[in-house]
Amino acid sequence: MVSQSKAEYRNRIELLQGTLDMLILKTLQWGEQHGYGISQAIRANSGELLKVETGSLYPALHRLERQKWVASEWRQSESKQRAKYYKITPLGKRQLASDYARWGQMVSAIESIMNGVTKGATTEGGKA
Amino acid sequence: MNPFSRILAALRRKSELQEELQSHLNLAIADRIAGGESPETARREALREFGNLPLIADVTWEGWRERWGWLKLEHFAQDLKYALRQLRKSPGFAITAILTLALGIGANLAVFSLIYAIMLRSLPVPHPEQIVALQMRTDGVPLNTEQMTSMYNVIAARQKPLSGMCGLMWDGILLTGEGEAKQFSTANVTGDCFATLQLVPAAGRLLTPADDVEGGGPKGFATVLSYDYWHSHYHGDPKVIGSVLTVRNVFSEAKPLVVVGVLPEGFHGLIPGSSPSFYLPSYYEGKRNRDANGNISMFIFGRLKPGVTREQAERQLQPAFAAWRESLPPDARDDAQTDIQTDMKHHDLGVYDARIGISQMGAEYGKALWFLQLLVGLVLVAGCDYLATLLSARISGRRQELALRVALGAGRGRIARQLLVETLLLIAAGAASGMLLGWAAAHLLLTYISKGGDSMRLDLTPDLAMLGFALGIALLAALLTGLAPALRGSKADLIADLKTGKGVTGGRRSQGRLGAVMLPLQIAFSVVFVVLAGLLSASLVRALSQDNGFRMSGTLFAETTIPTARAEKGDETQVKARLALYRDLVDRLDHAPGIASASVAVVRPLGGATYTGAYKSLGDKDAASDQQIFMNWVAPRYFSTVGTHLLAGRDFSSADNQGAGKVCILSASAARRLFPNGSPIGRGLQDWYESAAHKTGPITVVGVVEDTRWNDLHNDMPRMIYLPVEQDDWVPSLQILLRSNDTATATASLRRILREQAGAQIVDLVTIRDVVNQSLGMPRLLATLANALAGLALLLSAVAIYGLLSYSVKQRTAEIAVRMALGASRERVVGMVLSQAAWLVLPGLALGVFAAVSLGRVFKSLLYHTSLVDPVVFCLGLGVLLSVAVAAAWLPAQKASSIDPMEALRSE
Repeated sequence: MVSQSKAEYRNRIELLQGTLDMLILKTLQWGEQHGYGISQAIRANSGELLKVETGSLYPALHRLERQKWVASEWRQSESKQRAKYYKITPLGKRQLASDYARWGQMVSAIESIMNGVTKGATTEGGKA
Repeated sequence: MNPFSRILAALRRKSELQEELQSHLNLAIADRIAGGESPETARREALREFGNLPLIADVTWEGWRERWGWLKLEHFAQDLKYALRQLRKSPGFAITAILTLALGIGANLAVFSLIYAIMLRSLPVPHPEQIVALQMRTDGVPLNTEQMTSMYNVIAARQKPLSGMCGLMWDGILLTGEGEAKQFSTANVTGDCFATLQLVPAAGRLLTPADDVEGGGPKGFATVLSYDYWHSHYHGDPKVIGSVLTVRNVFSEAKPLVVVGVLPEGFHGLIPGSSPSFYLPSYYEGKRNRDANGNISMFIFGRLKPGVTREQAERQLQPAFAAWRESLPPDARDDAQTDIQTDMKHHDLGVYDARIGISQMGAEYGKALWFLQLLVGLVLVAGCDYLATLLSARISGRRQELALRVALGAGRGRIARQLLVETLLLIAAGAASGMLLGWAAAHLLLTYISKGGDSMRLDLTPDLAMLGFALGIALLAALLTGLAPALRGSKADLIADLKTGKGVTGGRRSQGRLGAVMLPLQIAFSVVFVVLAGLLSASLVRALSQDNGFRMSGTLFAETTIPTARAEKGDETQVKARLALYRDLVDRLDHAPGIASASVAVVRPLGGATYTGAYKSLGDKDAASDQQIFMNWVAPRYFSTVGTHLLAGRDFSSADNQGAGKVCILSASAARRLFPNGSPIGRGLQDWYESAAHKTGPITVVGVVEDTRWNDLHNDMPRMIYLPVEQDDWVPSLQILLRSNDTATATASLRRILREQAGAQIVDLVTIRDVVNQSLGMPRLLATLANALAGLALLLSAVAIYGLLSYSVKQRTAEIAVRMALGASRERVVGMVLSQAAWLVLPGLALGVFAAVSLGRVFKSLLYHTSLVDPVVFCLGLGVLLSVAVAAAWLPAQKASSIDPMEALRSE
């Protein structure tokens, strides 16, 4: 039991705020979805690795709505449950693209540090 | 988006958020059930995974709140809801608090609105600060508000520092319309008046100098109506302009009036308190009235040219005044104000600020009103002080709750703010009801001091200044009441208060300290009010019971539509006929049902009209004179009808008519003045102004009557001379006097006889009781108010004493229990409580007596023949207070003595 919960804890990655935004926007790019659906989608698409807490999800969703990167609408779900559906806006799509680009830069930067090599460091005397 | 819709949108969004989170939960549960879980398990697991729904909602909502800055507003709304709930839990407290505030604030507003209307409100004209009043004065003190009419023309011709002048005289007209005749007061103004005031008519045009000439215009004299009269009588119909009104003037022949315009809305007149329905040109009463030297009846106003100060104007107008003074013929050079004939050389002209007009009401009632304002101000302070105590006690009672909140994380500021909101809510409710109350009370107060009549009214409509005052008062109340308790409430001593619901020594001491200061102050207030009430009531009783020289009930006075008769160029037929008419009238009335005796006179007591004359006694030895003697012309049986006793000699009889020798009757003080040695009966008098042109001959004194009051009930009784109505060449519309115990029958008889005998109607009917009450309007008002305030103050003090002592007993339960267990008797305990009460009450009493005596100086002038330190009043007052205090302290004392020591000690 203990080891399993430990493993669960390790996989519940604390995502940076911007990263969560990006994941939500990406999820919505695949189609409109309500909050529950978004959290299920992220969980499924990450192979049960990423479980987004509702306490983080909803503040993020509403923040995205305030910034007009998503728009919302109340609709009936398939199970006849009334739910608030979100969809990505053109502004949101642009934001997603820039977020993803930045994410890429971040990953490369971290990668470089972890690999201990920078482009110009090996050459002695360089351009001094 | 306007704020209102923003709030709505916010509320909608908030409820949507709840729904959204709930729907997430439902979907999760549904999924689990679909995956095979049982409903209970599904719910439990979904909930566990979901987390704390309210918390998540709050955190998510934070984002929106921060964005819009609604945080503060939300806190305020929360505080408000909480405050309402707290107040609903203790309705008694809420009602007491709101009532106290409403009464205090309302009373202040009522009195101030009167003061404002009578003494502070500027005239509704452009640049009211330029309006000044010209008044003749001696040694810097104005002699009278009204001036001699002849002064106007002379000064108007040379008024360089003024851009215009306005003279105003009171007059009256009788309009005979359908059925009853109606008497109206009018303001007769000089031609330049409305131009000087820069008024714009609501309809038609206003009076001009072309209207103000002798004889008026071709169709009659132009007149303008007041806006209110235009609306109430003609329903704002512009077609009334150009119509002609038939007038039956009381003092001279009727001259028709042509309506030429209507004054603007909101303009009532130049004399606060008056609102005449008609404005006539000043020459309506003829040149004799308008330019007379002896006629002191004109209010003279002027408008300063821009940039000219009052002092400059005063200097520049002195030459004009001096020129007028020099132009006066010798026999007009008497000073109508003092006994001794002073030389007018000592008089000069004063220019006074008149932006509020000339307020005679202000001069008469000003002092009383400011004093009243002080009183109700004190009441408000006392009330707030009392409320503060109450609130403190209440907060002390909630210590446990507050301590818990502090422990749960509420900041001290938050708690203080919440308590403040609670207090503010009370105050807002109190202030709102207070404003309504004040508005109603102001109108009620007005009925006390108004002397009736068609033209009496005060503009009480609230304007900016009054609203400012109202808000200021409410704010003051808020500060006095709320600040102290709110500050104290947040200082909760946590641990101690959580443990015991009662709070420990810290609570008692600080509460006691507050109470120790507040209660004596309250007692002091009560003493002042009780003493005041006693003095004013005593004064009123004395005024009503003093001998006024006439009967205080059972007399009726009536004015009729019978016009004036005058001897024209030696032709006395009209006068003779009129006298015969009155003779027959009185005869018939004397024998009519309901009437015991009847008579007529030119003026009556408390009638507001005064004729003065000057006489000198004839005789070689001790010739004396009287320059200021009140006059009345009466018929036989006047004195018995009015109730004035004959002291010597005889009443007038039918023999004292035109052909017989001239006779008169003197009042006792006049007799003493004119004939200091011996009886005046049979001696002779002569008119001071006797001259070759104006010959009356010697007048024989045939009787002496007691002195009576004339214009009011508190001034000294004036010296009076009575002349027979029959022996003058001028018969104005006489007052009919009736002695009767049955007003209804007497009135009916009068109406009938008037109609049958003279084809006339009653214009105004009053009883002596009505007239006395009107004259005593202000004293009655003050006495009533003082009594009410005293009652209120006593009630508040009693409740405060009771409250404080009860609380103290509760605090000291343990101590008392121990004492009793150690052998103290019940009486001892009662004594203990009462002595604690005494420590609070006695200093208050002392302070109160001191305050009452010092304040007394202020209202000395309001008392009729009552000493300030009337021992009876003081003793009675203190007695009342002591008994109230003892009564209030009794219950807590009883409670204390009935403490069961075993029970009390066990619960500790």
